[in-house]
Amino acid sequence: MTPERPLKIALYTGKGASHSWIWFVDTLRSHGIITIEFITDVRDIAADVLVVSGGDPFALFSHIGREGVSRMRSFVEKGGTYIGICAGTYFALKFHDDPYPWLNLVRGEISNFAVEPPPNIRMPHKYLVRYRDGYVFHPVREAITLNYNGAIIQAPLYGGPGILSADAESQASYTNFTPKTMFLCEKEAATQALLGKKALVTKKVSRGCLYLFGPHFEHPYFPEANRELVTLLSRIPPRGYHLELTGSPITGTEKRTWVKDVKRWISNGRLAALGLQNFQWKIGEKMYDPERLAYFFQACFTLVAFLESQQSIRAIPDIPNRAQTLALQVRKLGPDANEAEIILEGIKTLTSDLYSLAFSTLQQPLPPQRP
Amino acid sequence: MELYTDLIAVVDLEEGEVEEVDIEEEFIEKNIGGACANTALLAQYPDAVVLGTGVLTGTLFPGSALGVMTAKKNGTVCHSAFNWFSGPELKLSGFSFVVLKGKAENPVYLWLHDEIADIESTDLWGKTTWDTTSWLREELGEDRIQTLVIGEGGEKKSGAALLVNNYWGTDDRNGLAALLGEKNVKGIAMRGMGEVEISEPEDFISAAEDALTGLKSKIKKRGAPVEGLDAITQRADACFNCPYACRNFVKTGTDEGVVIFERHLRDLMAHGLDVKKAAETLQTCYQLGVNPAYGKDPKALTTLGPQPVQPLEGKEGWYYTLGVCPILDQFGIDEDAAVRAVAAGTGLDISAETLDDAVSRL
Ligand code: SF4
Repeated sequence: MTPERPLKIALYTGKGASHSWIWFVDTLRSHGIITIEFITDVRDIAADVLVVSGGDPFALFSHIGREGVSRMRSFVEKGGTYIGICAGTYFALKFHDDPYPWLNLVRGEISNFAVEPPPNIRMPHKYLVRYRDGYVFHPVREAITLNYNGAIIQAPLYGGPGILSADAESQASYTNFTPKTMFLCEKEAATQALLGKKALVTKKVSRGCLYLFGPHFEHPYFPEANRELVTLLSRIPPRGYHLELTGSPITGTEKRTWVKDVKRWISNGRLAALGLQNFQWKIGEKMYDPERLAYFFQACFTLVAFLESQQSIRAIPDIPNRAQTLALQVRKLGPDANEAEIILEGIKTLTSDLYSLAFSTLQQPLPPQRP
Repeated sequence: MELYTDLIAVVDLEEGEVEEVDIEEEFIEKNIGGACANTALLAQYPDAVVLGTGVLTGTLFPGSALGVMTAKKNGTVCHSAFNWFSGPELKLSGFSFVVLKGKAENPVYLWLHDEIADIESTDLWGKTTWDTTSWLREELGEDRIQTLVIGEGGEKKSGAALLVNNYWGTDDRNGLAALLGEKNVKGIAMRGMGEVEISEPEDFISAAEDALTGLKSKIKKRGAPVEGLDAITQRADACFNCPYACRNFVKTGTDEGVVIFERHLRDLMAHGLDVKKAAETLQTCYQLGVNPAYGKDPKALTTLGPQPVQPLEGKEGWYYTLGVCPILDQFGIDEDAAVRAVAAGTGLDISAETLDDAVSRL
C-alpha cells in the first residue's frame, strides 16, 4: 500500500439505499473528490471510509445480513471510518434495549422513538416506522438549523434521528427550525423531540471511528454543510488503498455509438419515469414514488452527457442493453411494488456504474499523443 | 445557437439512418428560422418534407407556439403550420429542424427525444389519428408526448389530407400530411426536455412583455368568435404561451369532445352545417386526418384528388418565420418588439430589414 494515494471512499448503494447517495457523490465531486467505489457487498471493504447514507435500515440488514454486519464491524475495528447518514446512522446506533442485530456500535437513545408518538399532521407515509414495541417518528423534514462545533449552519433532515445520549462525542446539535422546516407533527412536539438534541456524534472504536449524522450534510443545496463534510473527510488519513479504474477505454466511432445507445435508452427511461402515474410503492419499510426513479434516470442522463463531451472514455459493453431493459420495464410499470423494486435496484446499479465510468474517465491516463 | 436547440435531424427514410447536423450561426443569420429556414433546407434536400421551428418558437414571446412544415407540392414550395404544443416540443426535443428525405420501405414513425431521433417501424397504418396518438403515448410511456400524425387522408394521399397534432387538426392548408403518407411516415412523436438559451435575457423579456401587454389590451374575448359557439363550448384552450385562447373545446358526447380550429369550423358551417353539427363533423375530420375546407363528408375527403397550393397570405410569411401564430395579427402585434426579441434572443444583428429580406425570399 502506498500512503500517497488519496482517500478511498466505499459508498454503499445496494438494497436499502435510497437516492441520497447521489447527493453525496455530487457534493464530493464538486469538491474534487472522485476516488469513490460504489459497493453493494460489504464483506470485503478495501477503502478508508465506508459511507451508508439514507434509505431503509431494515432492507439494508436483510441484504447484508449478520455476516455483512460483522465484516462492517471488523472494518471499523481495523482502522476504517464509518460514516452513517440518516438510515446509516440508525443502522449503527443501538437505541433500544432489545435492538435488531444491526451494526449497533454506538449506544445511545434517540429522541424520536416513542411507544406513543405525537399525532401526525401531514405526510403520514413519511411519519412512522415501527421498531419493536414502539415507533421511530420523524417530527420534521427539510432545512433545520444546527450548531456545528460552534458554527451555525443549516442542513436538511429527512428522517434522521435526534440523539439524546450516546457513548460518543457530540459534534453538532439541532438548535432551531427554519422557515423551510416542514412539520409532520405539531411544532411543540417537534421542538421537544429535536431541539437541543445531538445531530452528529463521533466515536472511536478500536483503531477506527464512526461519524453518525442525523441530517444530510451532503445535500447539494447546503454548501456550508457540504464544506464541513468535506473538511471532516479531509482529516481522515488515507491508508493507501488502490482504486481500480472501471471499464475499458473507447474512442472515436465506437465511443459515439456506445454513448448514443446509452443516451437513447436513458432518455426513454427518464421520460417514461416522468410520465408514470402517481404510484407509491412500499419497498421494505419505505415508500417510493416515480419521482425517485426519475431522479436516478436524471443522474444517469447527466453522466451520459458528461461522457458524451469527452473525447475518449471508459465504457462497459453491456450498459446499453441494461439501459434498454430498464427503460422498457419503466414503460410498463404499474402499481406492483416488486416490479418497482427490480427497476429501482437496476437503475441504482446503472447509476453507480456510470459514476464509476465518469470518474475512471477523468482518472485514466491520457492516450498517447500523435507525433 | 441561442434561441434554438442545437441540431437539424436529417432523416434518411430509405436507409433508416439519421444524420445530426449542427445549426450554424450563419444559417440563422441568413434564414432566421421557420418557413425561411425550411425553404433553405429544402433547397439542399429537394425531395424532402421539412419540419422547422421559428426563431421565437417555444419562448416567452407571446403566441410562440408555431412550427412549420415545408415541402414541394406539384413543384411549388409550400408551407403548412402546426401549433398547440407541438412547435415548442419539436424545438425542445433537441431538433429545431427535421428533414425527412427518401421514402421508408414500410410504415414508420419518428420518435424525437433528448437529441435522439429514432425511426421505428410500426403497424399503425390504417389506424385513426386518435388511436395513433393514444398508442404512441402508451407505448412510449409518457402522456405529455406531442404527436404530429396522419390518418386515412394522409395514408391515401388525399388532396384534403390534414396533419393532426395529438387529436386536433393543424393548419395544414396544403395537405402536406399526404406527403408524409407518400413517405410511409405515420407520425412523429416528440418530447422536449431541452432548453433554449437567450443571449440577452433582460432585453428579450422586456420585448416579450411589451408584445404581451399590447396584445392583452386588445384581446377582449377568450374563444373563437363564431356565432353560437359559446353556447356549446365547455372551455377555451390556448396553445403554448398564447394570450388569446381561440381553441374552443366543444363536448360532442359524454366522454368526448373536439378542440376546434376556427377556420375549419367556419369551413364546415360554410358547407351548410350548424355550429353543433359542424363541431361533431370536425371531430371525425380530425380522426381521419382530413381538411373540411374541401367538403363536409369526412370519409369522402379521404380520397380527394390533388388540390391547388395555398400560398401564404399577407404577413403570414413573417409569422411563419418567427414561429408566432398569425391569428394574432388581428390584434396588431408589436412588430418592433418581435424584432427586438429576435435580436436580443439570438445576439445576432437581425433588424426589421433583415427579417423582411428573408421573408421576401419565400
Ligand atoms: S391564436 Fe389560437 S391557434 Fe393561435 S396560438 Fe393562440 S390559441 Fe393557438
